[in-house]
Amino acid sequence: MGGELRVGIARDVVNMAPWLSQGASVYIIQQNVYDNLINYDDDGNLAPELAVSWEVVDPQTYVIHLREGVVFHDGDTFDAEDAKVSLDMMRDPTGTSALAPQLADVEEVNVLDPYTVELKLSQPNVVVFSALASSTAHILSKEWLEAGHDLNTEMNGTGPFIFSEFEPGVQTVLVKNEHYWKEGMPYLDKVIAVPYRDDSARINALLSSEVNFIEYVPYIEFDRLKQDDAYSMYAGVGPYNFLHLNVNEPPFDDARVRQALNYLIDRDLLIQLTAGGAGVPIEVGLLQPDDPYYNEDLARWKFDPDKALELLQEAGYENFSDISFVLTCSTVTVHKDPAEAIQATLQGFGMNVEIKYIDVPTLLDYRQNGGYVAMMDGQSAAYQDPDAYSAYFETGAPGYSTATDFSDETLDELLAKGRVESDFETRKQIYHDFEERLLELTPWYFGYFRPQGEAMEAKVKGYRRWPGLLGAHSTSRFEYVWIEE
Amino acid sequence: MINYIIRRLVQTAITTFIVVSLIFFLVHLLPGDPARTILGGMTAQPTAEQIAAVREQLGLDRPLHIQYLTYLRDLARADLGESLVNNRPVLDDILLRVPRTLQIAVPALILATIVGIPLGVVAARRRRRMGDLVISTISVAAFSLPSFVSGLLLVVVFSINLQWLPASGWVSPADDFAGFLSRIILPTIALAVAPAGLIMRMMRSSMLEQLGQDYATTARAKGLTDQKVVYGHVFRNSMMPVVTSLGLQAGFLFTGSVIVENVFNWPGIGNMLLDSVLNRDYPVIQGMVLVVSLAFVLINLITDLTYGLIDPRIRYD
Repeated sequence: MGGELRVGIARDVVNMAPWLSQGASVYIIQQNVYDNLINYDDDGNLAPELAVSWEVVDPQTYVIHLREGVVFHDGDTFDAEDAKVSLDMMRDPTGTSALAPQLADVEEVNVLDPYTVELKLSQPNVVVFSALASSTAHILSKEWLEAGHDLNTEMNGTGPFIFSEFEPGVQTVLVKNEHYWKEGMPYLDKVIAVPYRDDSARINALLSSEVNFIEYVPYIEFDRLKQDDAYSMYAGVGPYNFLHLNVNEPPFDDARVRQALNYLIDRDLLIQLTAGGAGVPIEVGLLQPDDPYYNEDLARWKFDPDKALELLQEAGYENFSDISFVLTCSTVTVHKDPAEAIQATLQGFGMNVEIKYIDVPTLLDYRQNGGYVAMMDGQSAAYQDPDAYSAYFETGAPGYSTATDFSDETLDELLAKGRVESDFETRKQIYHDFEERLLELTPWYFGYFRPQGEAMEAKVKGYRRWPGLLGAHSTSRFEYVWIEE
Repeated sequence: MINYIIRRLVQTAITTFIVVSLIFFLVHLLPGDPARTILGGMTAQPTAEQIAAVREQLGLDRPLHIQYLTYLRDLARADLGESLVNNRPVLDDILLRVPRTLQIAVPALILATIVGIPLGVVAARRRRRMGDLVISTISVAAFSLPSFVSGLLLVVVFSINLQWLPASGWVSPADDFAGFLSRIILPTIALAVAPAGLIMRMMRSSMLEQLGQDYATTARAKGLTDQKVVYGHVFRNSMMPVVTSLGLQAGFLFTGSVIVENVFNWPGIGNMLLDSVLNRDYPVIQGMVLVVSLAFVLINLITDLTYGLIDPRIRYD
């Protein structure tokens, strides 16, 4: 077992800095170099990584016991000081860490002994453990950080592979960590990640054996690759596609109009047209049907033009043709295709929908600062917990609320309650109440969970894909992969 | 001649100054914020506090005119700055990428010339006959074909179906020269198709015009063979507009590589320019535009100097 895995990634890794949320292409590199304290097992449950166990001593004191005998790639031994420094950087609100908002309640991190750290919280927050399992919760070495290395271009972790070389636009090379703490792993000698921004260039690279593994398989290739014995294909649904609606601008300043849109755009049709038929329609909110917090009783979004018209008439419009708006969307395929399909659908009912195309940096700007009436977007939850809703719908949340001045006291209260509640059944009820209120307000058009898949030559063995929305992070576990010669 | 070159170089400096100033303000006017990209792009939801902290760290919170003056001061010291996204020196990356683009652009220009010029001559000499018709049709198709289409067609045929050549990628000629050669073939052809068509059209019409001139008729009247008329007199005179077009084509090959580099995953300046715009990496965009505009101006200068070689009547003073 062993070999060299050549991976076609969808975008170049421009920045190696830890704790940033840069998407799957970058997780392939970073998550195979860095370890977390906590990660997920094959079923998607929290599992130990550099931590061996953790306990809630009291609602505001969490203790994490650390693994012994782990060494960083530079030879330094991993201990509680490293965990403390990393956690402190991760929760710094003015730093670049993507997890800073989720770790805001952590007031201090104390070293109890060389292999135990204690987290003191300003208020109970059960989301902390899920946050520590996210793909950006990297653990670095204290000595290495203090030595002043350039975090943008260097990496030193405890993971299965050692960062060896980065050539912009050409390749990033990882080599086997012979001293990895998981006995006998990793199997591969080398991982070479080659960036292919263009979808057809990436698929062509696999078909011509330039690479033996690609991420982000274009939907139109799903069936072909599944049927071809020369390739193995793994896919699941994870990210969700939706429309941000501006609740302060007509016509979407009326919840009934927003709801009407949710009944009028046929999700199954969108999935057929833009996701190769492989998506899952959203019937409630952002939790998938297999999520333990999912509430089937709230399921309501179905294609129902009569109901849509009824709602519009209640809102004072006579007909579909009285509605016109500008739909903003980026030129990224997974945004552009559904936006154009939505435009066609709505125009079929007589609505007047004009599309305004923007590039990705503009999309990022609009997400935060507004500037749209309706905007197509695709996202995935940063961590596996219903609290992920807070990134969009809590007052001041950077993913949606700030842009449209969306704010609702009930939603805020329920989110705050959910974070401190540790009893599963009580917590479940809190999020059911949250979703009920959310659907009353319907700030978005909730579209569908879109498929995401990886394809590889059949000789690539051992790849493990996580279920549900975690699936998109599966490329971070190349320690299980080998090439059969 | 020396005076002429000096005058042109001064003009170049002025043009460059105007271009870099324009581009500086234009990129800052674009919506989008490099701080937001640095904090993680599409998948991230950074807070306003985090964005403000990064902007401050990068100096993007300073007034625009101060940033502009700092930029000009650094530029005067030949310092193009560092990438906002990964702190790599802009000049280093440009010097790394330019040769790679030249590795396909120069062969493409040579290929376009050695295919376009002879075909143009043949078409002109066989005007309105079968040969002309066939060549002209091919040339129109060639320069109408977008390079991403010709690129993808080449990949499907030669890489996926026949498996003769690699579909994409670059290797250093120093590490693997044979691998390097096999990888430049398809992008070079994709890049050469359109200019070859254009050069052929230019050559054909220019030559037809010269063949109709009095001196060509006189040469024929005094009994010179067709061969001698065409290659001894007409050919050289026909080259003037073709050289102009070659100069322009050379410039466009540099920028046209944006598309071909994307299709073939060629890590040259085209890919770098695209990335820098998508990251709103201001210093990199500015550096790239500076290099590309300098290349354009210099190629123009070389083109103008070439006229003197073709037509000795042209004097530079």
